[in-house]
Amino acid sequence: MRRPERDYRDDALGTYLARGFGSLRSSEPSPDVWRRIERQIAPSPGGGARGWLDRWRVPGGGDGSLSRVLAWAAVPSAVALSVLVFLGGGPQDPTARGRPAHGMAGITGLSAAELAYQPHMDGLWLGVPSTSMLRAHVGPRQALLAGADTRREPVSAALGVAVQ
Amino acid sequence: MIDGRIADAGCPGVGREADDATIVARVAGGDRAAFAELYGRHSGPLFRTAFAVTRDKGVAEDLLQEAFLRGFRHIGRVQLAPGASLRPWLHRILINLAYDWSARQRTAEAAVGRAADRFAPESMVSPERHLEARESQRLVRDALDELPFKQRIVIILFYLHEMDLAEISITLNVPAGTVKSRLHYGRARLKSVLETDARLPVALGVRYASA
Repeated sequence: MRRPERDYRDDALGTYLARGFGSLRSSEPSPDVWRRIERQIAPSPGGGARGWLDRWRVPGGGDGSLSRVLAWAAVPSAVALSVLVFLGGGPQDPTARGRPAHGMAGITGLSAAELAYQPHMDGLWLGVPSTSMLRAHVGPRQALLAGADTRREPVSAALGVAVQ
Repeated sequence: MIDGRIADAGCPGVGREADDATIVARVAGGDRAAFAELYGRHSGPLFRTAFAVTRDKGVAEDLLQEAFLRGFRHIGRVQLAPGASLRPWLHRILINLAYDWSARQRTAEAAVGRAADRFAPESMVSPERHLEARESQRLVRDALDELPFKQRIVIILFYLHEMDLAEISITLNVPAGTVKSRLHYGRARLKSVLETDARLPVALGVRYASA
């Protein structure tokens, strides 16, 4: 008994279709294709950033693969971030009301209210000029700044803040 | 994991030298020169598939290039059984790219209308036999364009590469029954298109009418 796929090749339609692909059977890509591929997979000569990037492109992810590099970079970054958070923050005292809470504000010794208001640091992180940040925040916080905080200078009038 | 069921299928270089699995291991270890050997073995058939789908040599070469670059990037994930051919895996990458190209092409054609010369009447009388052959190739490829991509690619693999149903099933990663169904419906559609093509009787002397 003949298999259907054999029939599909041998019948008139099959023969005609096979003949229709005639010229395609001998076609080949031009040598340019391999040259283009070769250029893209070839490592850059010498070192430098390009050579370093190329080492990531080892197929299958060798020792220098990007994921491995990122994994190693993530560990010290996480540690550094943890230290930064600890130094900059510390436990906050809900009863501080604008005054330093000695012994409760971590290494910085700042009150919870002061920690909440760090215009220069905000400006640094957000890339916004600190004076602009200051002006934006000053209204609701003016009373706080005018309080008896002896550990920091009042904000200068030169920054556009009216200090009472 | 690509198994060894279709090892050596349509790949004359395999078996005489290092098999694909050995070369793949070398490429994965960073041996870029070994990749040239894989290209030499498999670029021809892959290019012909791309050319059959796109009918444009430049586009076919672009697809071939992209298929090999993707293959190179992901070759470390391939676990090839000894003696097995990498071609089905590479072919699958190329066919996925061709599918994307075809979908974009369909959208573009829908927007601007089909190329005018595709359906323009050709010279109806073609006395030279080589012209007849060229005409029949044009008819077949015009008719192929009328098929949905999934049927078209099965027809191409079956008639151009002369793969059997099992090989096509592995290449496309679909069940053999699905391949058989696509082949059946693809042929039926081709038959219908070819029988209604006004150019066919003149070009072929109605030789196809009984199919």
